[in-house]
Amino acid sequence: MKNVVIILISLLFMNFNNNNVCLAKNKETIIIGLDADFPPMGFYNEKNEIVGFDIDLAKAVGKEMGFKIEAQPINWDAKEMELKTGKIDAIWNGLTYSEERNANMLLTKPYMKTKPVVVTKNDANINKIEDLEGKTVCLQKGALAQASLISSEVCKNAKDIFYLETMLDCLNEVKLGKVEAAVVDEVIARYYLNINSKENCFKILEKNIPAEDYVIAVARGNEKLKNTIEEGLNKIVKSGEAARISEKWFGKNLVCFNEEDQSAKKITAESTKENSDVFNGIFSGLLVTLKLFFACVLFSIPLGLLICLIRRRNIKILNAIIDLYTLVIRGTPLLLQIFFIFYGLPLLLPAMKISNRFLAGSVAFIINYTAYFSEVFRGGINSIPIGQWEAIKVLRIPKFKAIEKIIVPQSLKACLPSICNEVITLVKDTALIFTIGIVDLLSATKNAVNISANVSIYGVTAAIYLFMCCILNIIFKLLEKRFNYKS
Amino acid sequence: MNIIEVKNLSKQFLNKNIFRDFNFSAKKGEITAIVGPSGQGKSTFLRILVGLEKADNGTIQINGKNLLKDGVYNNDRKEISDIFKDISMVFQEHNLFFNLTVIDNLKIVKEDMRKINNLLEDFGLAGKENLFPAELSGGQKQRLSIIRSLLLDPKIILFDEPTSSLDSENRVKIANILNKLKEDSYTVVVVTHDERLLNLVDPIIYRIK
Ligand SMILES: Nc1ncnc2c1ncn2[C@@H]1O[C@H](COP(=O)(O)OP(=O)(O)OP(=O)(O)O)[C@@H](O)[C@H]1O
Ligand SMILES: [Mg+2]
Repeated sequence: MKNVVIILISLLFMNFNNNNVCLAKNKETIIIGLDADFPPMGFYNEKNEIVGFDIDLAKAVGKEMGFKIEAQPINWDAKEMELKTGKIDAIWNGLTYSEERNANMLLTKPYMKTKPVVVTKNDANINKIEDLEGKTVCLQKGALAQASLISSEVCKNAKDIFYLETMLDCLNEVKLGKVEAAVVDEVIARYYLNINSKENCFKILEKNIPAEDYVIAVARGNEKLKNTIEEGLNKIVKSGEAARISEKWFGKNLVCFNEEDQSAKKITAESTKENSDVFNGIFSGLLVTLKLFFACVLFSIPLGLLICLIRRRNIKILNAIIDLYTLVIRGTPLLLQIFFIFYGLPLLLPAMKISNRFLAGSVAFIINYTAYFSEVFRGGINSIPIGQWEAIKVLRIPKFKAIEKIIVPQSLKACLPSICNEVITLVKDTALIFTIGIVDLLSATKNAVNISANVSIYGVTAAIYLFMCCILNIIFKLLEKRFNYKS
Repeated sequence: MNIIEVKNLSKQFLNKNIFRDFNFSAKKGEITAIVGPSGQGKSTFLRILVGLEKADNGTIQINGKNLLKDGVYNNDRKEISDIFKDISMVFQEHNLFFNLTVIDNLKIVKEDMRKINNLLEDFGLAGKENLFPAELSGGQKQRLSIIRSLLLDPKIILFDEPTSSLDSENRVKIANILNKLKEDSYTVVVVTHDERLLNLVDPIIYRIK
């Protein structure tokens, strides 16, 4: 059964693979994919138009070669998939060269050099790379940082490394003090510091990190588009147009397109990512998911029961607080609550700062699920006939014995199906923790798919989730059997 | 000697009088029956005696101790606890703990295996220990419910319609049990419509108009 599911899912995706290899052959518009949060390469301006250095450069090339440019914002994590499935024609957005990318996509010769730099707060006690020892650092997911920096000097010494959706998120986390340093492309750091020179709360360390090449990617096999772009670049470099655009954005000509560049020889390099690496990543994501799941179940079920029992004491103020709590928790998205606990709460109450991401995420999940479980238990306890309570009273059965032997078992039987529902929903909800930079099963899968460009990994992950839910189903079936008395 | 003495008892539900100035007494070691039309508050009266409802006015004395005096409830915890130790009730709907087996329904009240086994034997329930209440007949449930009340050694046992859903064979069994309880010097108060049960046990009768 599970194999069939994997095959079906894989087929579904693979069908797209080879359809559009020769895209843009007869087209006058080239769609370029970009992370629209990457100033100054490509980003939304105040008028909500996508602008940037790469956009201007692409337009200049298009003008030279006779095609139009359409900028399409994409999820940067999924850029290889976007290209492979023909949703975009090229990735042109400060894409740095790497062996893996070279194996998965067709890359042009480099048109610019960049290096990642370490950004910290102005007043941070970090002045050289070695000072990062024992500090927390964040990187943009899927960016060059992740591929090449993990083993570099910067990250070797760091205590913790987090991956966030965009570079702006990374800089924000530094600003808020969530992490001590961010590693971002130099261009973005310079640009940002320039336009925010009044605020001036960041400083840049730039030593010791090797420079990287910016390239443009098209789908494998689409040599024609690659050649067209390279020819166009060559022309605008020669005409001085490229230098003009660069000066507009960086105050300096950074374009260095060299027709005799040697990157062609790298084309043969194969992906260095071993399968076992991919599955190691997924496995550690699975561990995170399981850890979150068990933490949430182990705390929120007893806490839910406790709240439900407090409620039964009918103390007015407490009940009003509990009502408000369940209303707010059940009436707002879990995602919002996770953000609130991690980002919002420390701003409101500095003492409540939870700097451990996993802990903050777990706390949000526990708070959320406790509310749901307390309501489930309330329903369960309310389903106990009044005669049972009267018998407990008349027969003078001690309170704790009654709760343990009569009330809990009877209400559990009544609410077991609802508990099962909640727990199975939790298995899937755990994926939301990726939003605060934790790599769980699903985001590990996304990363693995991007690195290996192998969509069938999604099938494996689907099977893992399905398997967890099946196990839970079996456990709950057994529990139901255990409470299988007629009433 | 009257082990239960009730004077001028009043009870309202939602401003409607269920009974007013109700007087009642039960002699120690006797069977007393309360009979009367439906909806007159007979069950409510028994529930007041075991503390499941509160009366609005009057006096209740059980085994020489005041539960209620001129409309004021006793608030001496120790005394209240002693009063309720002396009195137990067999519910009309049995109210057995349906998630527990026969034996566990008894053990949760008092873990005295010798006594439990003797009672199960006496009441014809030996061998049913591991069944759930839902697996018992109406008569068996009624008897299990009586055993459960007897485990705590009360002096007074109240019965609410003990034969209401039973056939004549089971009625005779219940009558025998009531007579046996009287022999063993328990005080029994039974609320019933069942004239044939009254003939079988020959109680002191209170009629509510
Ligand atoms: N909790 C309650 N709230 C409001 N009214 C109640 C409540 N319990 C009982 N009553 C009312 O009090 C009256 C007496 O009820 P009770 O059950 O004591 O009568 P009964 O004499 O036992 O009748 P039956 O012979 O049918 O069992 C009824 O009219 C009933 O509707
Ligand atoms: Mg009644």
